[in-house]
Amino acid sequence: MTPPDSAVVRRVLAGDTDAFAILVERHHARCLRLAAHLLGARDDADDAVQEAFLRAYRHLARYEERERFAGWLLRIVVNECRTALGRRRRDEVRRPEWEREAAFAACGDEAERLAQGEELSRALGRLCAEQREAIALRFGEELSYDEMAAVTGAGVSAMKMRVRRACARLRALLTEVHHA
Amino acid sequence: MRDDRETLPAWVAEALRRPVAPPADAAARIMARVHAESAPACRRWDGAVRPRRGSAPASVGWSVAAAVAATVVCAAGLYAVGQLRRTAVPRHGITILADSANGARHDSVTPPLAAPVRAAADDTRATPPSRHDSL
Repeated sequence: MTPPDSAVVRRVLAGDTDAFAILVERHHARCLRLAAHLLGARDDADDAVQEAFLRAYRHLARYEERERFAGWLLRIVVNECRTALGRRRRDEVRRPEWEREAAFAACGDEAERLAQGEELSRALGRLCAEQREAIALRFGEELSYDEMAAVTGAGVSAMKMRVRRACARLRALLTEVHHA
Repeated sequence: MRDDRETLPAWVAEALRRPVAPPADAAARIMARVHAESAPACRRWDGAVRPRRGSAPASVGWSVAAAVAATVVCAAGLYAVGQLRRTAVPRHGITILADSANGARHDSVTPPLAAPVRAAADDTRATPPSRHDSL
């Protein structure tokens, strides 16, 4: 039986540093997917996730058990991605080179899947950062509006509005690509 | 039920949920950095590892120190102002002291000004400046 996140956190706080690896293993993929949607480039996403886990480790004592650990961690990831975007000083997502390269190498369904992924990444890159966050959290991480509000620090109604606007914009961008 | 305005084509939602393959050594790199850090919430104390309760004690300590420092500075300032007023204001006139113990009133008169000073003061009051004097 796998221990819940809160029990693992308690072990780490009691001095069992190796137990933190359990949390990394459980949540790394999810954090990386979110960071990849927000930042676009895989290297940047990888760096942001690494920094987020370190920050989580440093401030583990501040984690309160009444909150879901995943939500707490995703909030740190979102903040790291915002910082990374701020460092870039421009609100655009770099195109994920690894997908573009892989698209040439693949064929059949795999090629179609990668082409779709590239198309989506390009469209996401044209959304503003707030809308990208809304789309990634709502559809990528499948969070409720309450959870999204907790992760982003915005209100529930603001999140609903962002999702609606982001959906409309994304649909328009994808249609534009198909007609081009 | 989900609002139509909050939906995306199925393939888009599916692509957004698709996992991103992490670099092979990602977890190992994170753990290497974690091990390089000092323990997050534990502090060595008499050889035993005890959980640290956030940063509250440190902040309370700083607050108390700041409050004590502010009190000392205020007290010193008030004392200095009192000293200045005591030396700068001439004390001549009548001070009435109430003796609460026996209900009697004692009128105390501060010592009069020195005679030459008083004379000079009287002279200036007695002879106002005249326009002819200056001519």
